[in-house]
Amino acid sequence: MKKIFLIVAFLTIFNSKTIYAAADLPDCNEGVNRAVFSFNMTVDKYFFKPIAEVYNVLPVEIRSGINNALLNIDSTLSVPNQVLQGNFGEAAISVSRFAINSTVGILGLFDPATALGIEKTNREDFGQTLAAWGFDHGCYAVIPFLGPSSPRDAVGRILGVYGDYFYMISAGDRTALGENLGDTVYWSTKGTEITNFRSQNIKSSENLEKNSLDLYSAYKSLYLQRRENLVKNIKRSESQYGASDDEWKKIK
Amino acid sequence: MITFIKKIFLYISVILLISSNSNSAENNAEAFVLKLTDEAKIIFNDKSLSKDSRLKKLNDLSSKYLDLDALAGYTLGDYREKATSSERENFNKLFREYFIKNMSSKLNDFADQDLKIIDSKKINENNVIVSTKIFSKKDAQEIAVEWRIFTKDSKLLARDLVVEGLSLARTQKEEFASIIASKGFVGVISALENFNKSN
Repeated sequence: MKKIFLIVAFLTIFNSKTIYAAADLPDCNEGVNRAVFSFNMTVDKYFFKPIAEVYNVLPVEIRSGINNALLNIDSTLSVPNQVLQGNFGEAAISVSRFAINSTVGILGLFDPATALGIEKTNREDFGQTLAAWGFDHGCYAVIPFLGPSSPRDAVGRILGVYGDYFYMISAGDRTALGENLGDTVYWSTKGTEITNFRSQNIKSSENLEKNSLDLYSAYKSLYLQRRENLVKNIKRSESQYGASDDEWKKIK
Repeated sequence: MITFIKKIFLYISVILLISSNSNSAENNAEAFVLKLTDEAKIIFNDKSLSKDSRLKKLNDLSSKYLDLDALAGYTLGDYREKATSSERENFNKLFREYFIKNMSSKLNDFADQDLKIIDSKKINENNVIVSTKIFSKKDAQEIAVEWRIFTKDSKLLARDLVVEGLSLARTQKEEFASIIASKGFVGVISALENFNKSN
């Protein structure tokens, strides 16, 4: 109860429109954020990136299978959020996809659900649910080790740990089919998830580092655009045409 | 009755004409993207080109296919209205060089990948969005890329690329806005000059 009260109080404070008058994501603590960003970039350079490079040596087929399995586990987080956002149809599809891919698809390594015509649903997390409920982003924040975020998404992350079925049956004390998978399974899965994500972005992050005039702002912009697309449930292949049309109308 | 039938026929003809024009705008934009990417691929796959000749060819390609002045204006955001004409002229020149050098390194890795047109949509009088997918066999990845194609004086020009939902124009605009906020417009000019000198 105390935790819920704290979360609601935190969101109420950070949701204040009088503090955040700007239409986009205000950077209230830019100095601190830039320092944390620098720290994260150093950690990435000497830790995450080298691991991702080694991981990329694995054959494409293996990486593709691991990616499928991780997406399958991640879909367990989408289900409660789809329900909380009132998308019951999508939640039912996610559950059936998870059931098919976890069994026929051998623990999610393969994706027979898509082959059967059950297409992927939009990924949903608690940050998106809070956005759907009308909570504002708050100020932009860079979190040590985790990267770009906002108070809304940070609260979403915390809720995501406790509202994630996979967490409950591994690091938590719940069981599935009478078994608890244990902490090791949870943390090694999370580690693989980070490595897999980083390995998919090696080229693009290198290009960004090489060509950006202000790398910090570039990452902030990309984070904001990505979250906007996720909140509006815009699929990657159906973006909102990148930038608002009104802005382009001003250009002759 | 005959007048009524004539009217119906006229309405149908007008609707068909409008719809065929709209489809033709989309078809033209799709053909434009294919031509642009084919020509770009030839440049990126020609390993015999020196760095300077590659940049020259990319510059020619950009003049033919890209609306770089519009993109430069877009990336300036609110400062676009405040800048003097000489500031804009200097900025456009530096931006063009920056963009081409940036593109040269950014797209190099994508030279051996296949592009497939998914569909296209006319979103207003002058803009068509062409949705494509780029396939990388090496990485087993599929990247969604949207092209904002603008019709300017009956000529098609690309204005923005949206990669996996992330707009290159918007990202650039927000980078410049941050520099302008902390160091002013002179900061942007200086950053562009430094980049162009060192690349």
